[in-house]
Amino acid sequence: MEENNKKKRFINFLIVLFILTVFSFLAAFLFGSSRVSFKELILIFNNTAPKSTHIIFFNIRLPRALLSYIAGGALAISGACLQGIFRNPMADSYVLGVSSGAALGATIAIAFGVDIAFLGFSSVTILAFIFASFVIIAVYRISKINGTMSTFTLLLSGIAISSLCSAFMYAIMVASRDKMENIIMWSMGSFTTATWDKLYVGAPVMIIASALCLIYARDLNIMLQGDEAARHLGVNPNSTRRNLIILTTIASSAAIAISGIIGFVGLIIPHVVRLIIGPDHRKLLVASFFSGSVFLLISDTISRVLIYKHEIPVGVITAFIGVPFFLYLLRNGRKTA
Amino acid sequence: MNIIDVKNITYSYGGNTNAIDNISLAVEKGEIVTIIGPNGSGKSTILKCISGYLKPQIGEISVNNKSIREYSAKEIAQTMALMQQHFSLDYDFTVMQIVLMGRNPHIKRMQGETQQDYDIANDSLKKAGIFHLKNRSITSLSGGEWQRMILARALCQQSAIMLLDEPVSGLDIKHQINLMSITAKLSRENNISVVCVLHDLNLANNYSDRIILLKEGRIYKSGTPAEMMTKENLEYVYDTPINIINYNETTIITPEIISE
Repeated sequence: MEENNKKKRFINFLIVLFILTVFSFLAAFLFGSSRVSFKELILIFNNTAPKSTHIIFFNIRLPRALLSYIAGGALAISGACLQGIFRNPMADSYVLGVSSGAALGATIAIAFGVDIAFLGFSSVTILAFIFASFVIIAVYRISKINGTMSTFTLLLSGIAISSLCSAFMYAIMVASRDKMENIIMWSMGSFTTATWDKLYVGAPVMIIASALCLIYARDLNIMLQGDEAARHLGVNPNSTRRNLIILTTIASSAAIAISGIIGFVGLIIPHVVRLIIGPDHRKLLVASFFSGSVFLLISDTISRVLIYKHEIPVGVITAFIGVPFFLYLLRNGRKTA
Repeated sequence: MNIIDVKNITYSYGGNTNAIDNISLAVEKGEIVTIIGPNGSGKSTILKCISGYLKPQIGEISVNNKSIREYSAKEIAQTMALMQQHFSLDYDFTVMQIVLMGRNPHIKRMQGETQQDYDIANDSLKKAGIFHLKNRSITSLSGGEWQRMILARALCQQSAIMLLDEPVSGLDIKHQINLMSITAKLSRENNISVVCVLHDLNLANNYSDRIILLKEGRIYKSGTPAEMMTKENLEYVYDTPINIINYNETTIITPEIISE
């Protein structure tokens, strides 16, 4: 009975997510500094729309919507995996240092005007990705002692390295005050610079890394019971942890490198989804991906339209919507979670 | 035939002293072997070495005539099930979901559970006496129900060996007796070898085929419960006065109460 109920709940949840996906894409296409009417949207698909509308849709809104949708999914599924492998609700890519690493990389690129643009990616994106990856490798190596890894050491060294990166970042910011605003705006996250080029390379990376995480869904369920129990249930906890850290780092640092730091998606979405459909990672990971997608696409649309002709960083919007909703669920959903 | 062969193993957690020192033991098919000894005598360390979780610095352990170092994670799980101390898991899984995890060593990656896996899980739930709890959330289980769920999960693995690490600690006396008698009965019926770490001397005395007495990381003696559970042996190992009382043909082991 209950097994069936849970399955039904999961399917219903996916249906709701699908409907939300359709509506959030529609909203992303229609709303913005220049309005596109529903009629014009249909004309676009008939290829008979005015040129300006056509350009707005294909060159600006469509790549941006797709990119924010996929980035949201990548951040959320990364958070869900990391919370699982560390058996810690506080874990996400940011706690491990991905974001501070990316921020330091971006700061260096902006402040020193590094020019290594390549494949349509700006130097900022490239350096952000490289630094984020380096930070994770460093954190991982520091916390691996005699072939095993303690969750606490990993999280704490993540926090320590993050602080170090932030310290460097602030030092650079103070030294180059004229670039300070650019750096701050980048670190608050935005999809303003979304292009097809970024989508062509970024999207497959995020989608493939996220999809590969699904291979470990059952192992994650088992690992919740601790390393020793996991070994006796046929899961190698060390290699599973290592592989998932690699995959989630690729997925989340790609998202952050392209968009800047967007907080709360990786932390909050998996919690919310767990409260609704339960802890089984075979469902949780998929549902987290699409919930994160919808959430970030809606947040990005709001960030574009809330103040006329001005964009609010999307990281600000995710915090404004995400945090109150999360706190509400935390207080009211605890009995069932 | 020995299913587990431990030869001269020494393990140290680092530092100057060895947690276990030159331990050798063997477990036969279908046998229930209990390791007893005071805190810090190395009981759990031996169990963790047998399971391959800890790798002894010296010595060799073989299971089914194959070195434990050569086992993959799946092979370990197919050979040895673990029933650990009661632990809490604050996630809303059902009992069935946890028991089905016992099938994981037999299922390939990306494959789902088959009807056969469900049948085995149902059967294990019945044997552990908790079939009626199948759809309950694990967050609502009592300590006794929880441990029987872990027993069902272990049965579901269909492994030839079960390692029990203080399975009854934290349970009340009724559930202690209940869990130990089900486990012993199932071990006999299915010819499962059991290596058990226990604190309770009376349970060890009643449910074991053989007892290993441990003191300061070394095996003091090993033998049948009747041979091992003597006043002299226990007083030496535990370093406290102990009384052994015979009542209605049962042996009761109790420490002498010392009032300061």
